[in-house]
Amino acid sequence: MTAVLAARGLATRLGGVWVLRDIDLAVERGEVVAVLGPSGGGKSTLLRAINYLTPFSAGEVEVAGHRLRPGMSERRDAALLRAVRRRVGMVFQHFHLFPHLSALDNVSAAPRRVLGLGAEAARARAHALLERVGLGGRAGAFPHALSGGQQQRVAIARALAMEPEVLLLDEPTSALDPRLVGEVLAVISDLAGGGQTMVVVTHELGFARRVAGRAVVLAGGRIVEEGAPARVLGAPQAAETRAFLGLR
Amino acid sequence: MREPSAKRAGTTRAALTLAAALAAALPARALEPGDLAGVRARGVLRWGGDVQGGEPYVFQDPHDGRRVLGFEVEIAAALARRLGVRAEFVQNDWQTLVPSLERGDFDVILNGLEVTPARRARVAFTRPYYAFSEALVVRDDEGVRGLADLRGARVGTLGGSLAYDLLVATPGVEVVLYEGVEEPYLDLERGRLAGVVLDDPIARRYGLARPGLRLAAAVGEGEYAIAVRPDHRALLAAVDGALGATVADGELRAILTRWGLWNDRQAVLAAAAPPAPVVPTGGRPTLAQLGLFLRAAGVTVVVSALAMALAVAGGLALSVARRYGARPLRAAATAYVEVFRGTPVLLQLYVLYYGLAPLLPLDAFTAAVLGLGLNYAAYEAELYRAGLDAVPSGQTEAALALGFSRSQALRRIVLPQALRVALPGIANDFIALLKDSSLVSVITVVELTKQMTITAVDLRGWLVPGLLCAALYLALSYPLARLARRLERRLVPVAA
Repeated sequence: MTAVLAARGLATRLGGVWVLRDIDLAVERGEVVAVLGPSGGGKSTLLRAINYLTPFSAGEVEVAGHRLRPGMSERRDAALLRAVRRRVGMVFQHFHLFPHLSALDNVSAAPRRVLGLGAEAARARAHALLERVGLGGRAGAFPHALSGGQQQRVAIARALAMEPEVLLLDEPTSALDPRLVGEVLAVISDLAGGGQTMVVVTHELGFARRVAGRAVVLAGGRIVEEGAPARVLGAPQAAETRAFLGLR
Repeated sequence: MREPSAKRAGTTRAALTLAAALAAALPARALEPGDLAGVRARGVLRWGGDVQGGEPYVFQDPHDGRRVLGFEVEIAAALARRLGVRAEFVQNDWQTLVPSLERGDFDVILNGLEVTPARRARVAFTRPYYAFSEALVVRDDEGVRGLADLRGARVGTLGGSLAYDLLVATPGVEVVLYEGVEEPYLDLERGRLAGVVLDDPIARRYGLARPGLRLAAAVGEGEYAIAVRPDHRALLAAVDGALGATVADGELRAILTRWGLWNDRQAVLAAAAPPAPVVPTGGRPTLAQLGLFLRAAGVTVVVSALAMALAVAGGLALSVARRYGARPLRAAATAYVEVFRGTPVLLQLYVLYYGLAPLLPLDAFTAAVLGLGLNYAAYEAELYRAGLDAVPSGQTEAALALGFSRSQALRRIVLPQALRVALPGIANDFIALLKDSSLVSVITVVELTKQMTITAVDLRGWLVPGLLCAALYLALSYPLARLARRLERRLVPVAA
């Protein structure tokens, strides 16, 4: 097994505060990692650091042989950043679908513009992916006409369209009505079953226990505990994990 | 110029009501005591003219801005003295002297007003006080000998003048209209015109004084006379009589001699039997004039559309430079917006066309499109800025996370959304631009409003051309207003 994604000694300082410290995380191909922990623990910052949407201050990130380092600039290091980002899919808490494009165009835009696929090939790929997330019938709909759960499923399809080596999901169900959470989790479970490598920041502990191969607990910007989800959630060792789970 | 869209609905009706109220109020001025009795009662003969016409007619005393000088000032004083009253000068735009006379702003017009059949039909004229020739002035280095040599060439003159009528009647000459007497000779020097036809006193003072210009020929002749309202018959008789007396006792000759204007032509005029003062009949609009209006409306549309295209593209470049550019570029774009937004577009047109002419000799049409376009670009840049501000940062992040380059993210994701926010404002600005395009008449482009003033002079009335002009503007802007409203309804919720 090889690591498709590795963070080594990652640290991020924002506004004078270390939001991430000494993060070492390697993700193997096909692995699903659940990132758990209290709010403000650095979970989202970790995901955003991996594709450099939030620059980090120390350490490095390696994806498919490309290494990101501190102090890079969007302008100067554009080629390197693009090389990493096209291999790392990102799903945001608030979807960030493109409101001026239909569901189909949201999904086909990156394959066309970034991978250079022809219009027909990109559309075919987008149709297949919408089908896969259960939205084959809504290809022509614009985001404002879709429910939150549907929007997030389009966003997942959009990320998958780049055939990423690893998919990062940042609290993908936190912005949804409770009754819509299930449909999105079902899609993610299905992806896991299909062997998609994923790092999921989530508060859905049952989902993490069921789907993830490994749980990582982040608190105060550090990884305080990691291991099999059943073990971490069932018999937490670190005080921070116990506090997060409401145990003493 | 720009108003909040919510207020717009009532504006048209309000403007119509206001116009109706003004129209109703206007005749009230004319009811003031006029005619000879009014002049005697006031002890003042009010005479209208335009100091912009300049030397030697009427012009501001360079040493005392409140005083006017000129041969017509002296004629007015002589006439007033003979009527037993004081002369008082009233400043009025030359092109609108006749309507102002009718409104009762002054008692007589005494300002190089040529006796033409069209004017004869509208005002009453005294006997003439000056006989002029129409002087064709050209550049020294060109062998032009008469109007016949200027077929297909651009020839400048003043709107509403006899020279204008003369040029319009000359086949193959492209007539270019000016508002002042300095500018046509300036443009002749720079090669924008092949010739200028104006009355000889103007040509001598403003044209032939420039080295490099020469008199090619006298291409016509005519007379200046004093205009009086046709219903002021007693005043007409009194002023005509007083003028006759200044001719008889040599005072007029003395005045003209002092100003270097006495010549054989004047001697002939003084010796001739005075024509009887003429009382006007009337004039009616023709189909040809309607054609000119439609043509001018076409010019307005073309100038506005091209200027708007330039403004939309330029504004986009400015707003992107301000947001994403390096520091010097940002500063330059900001300075551009502030300068072009903070100075009058009229001034910008003057500077572009006349001021920059030695460095950048633009033709009038290009200067008009460029001037309006560059000015409006500053406003469009601000609209785009608001649009860019309205696009959440998550949109750029989502695009970058997919592997889009920064410029792709801007072009494919951010700008289309910003444009939707800006579009209603842009449509609104297009309407404003359509009306502001009337300003380009100052640099000789004949568009809708200019055509209206020309026709008004020809027709001896402002009401019909004015309403026709307004109707054409409305016909052009109303569909745009509808489009803007539809865009607002349809696009804004999508982007929200």
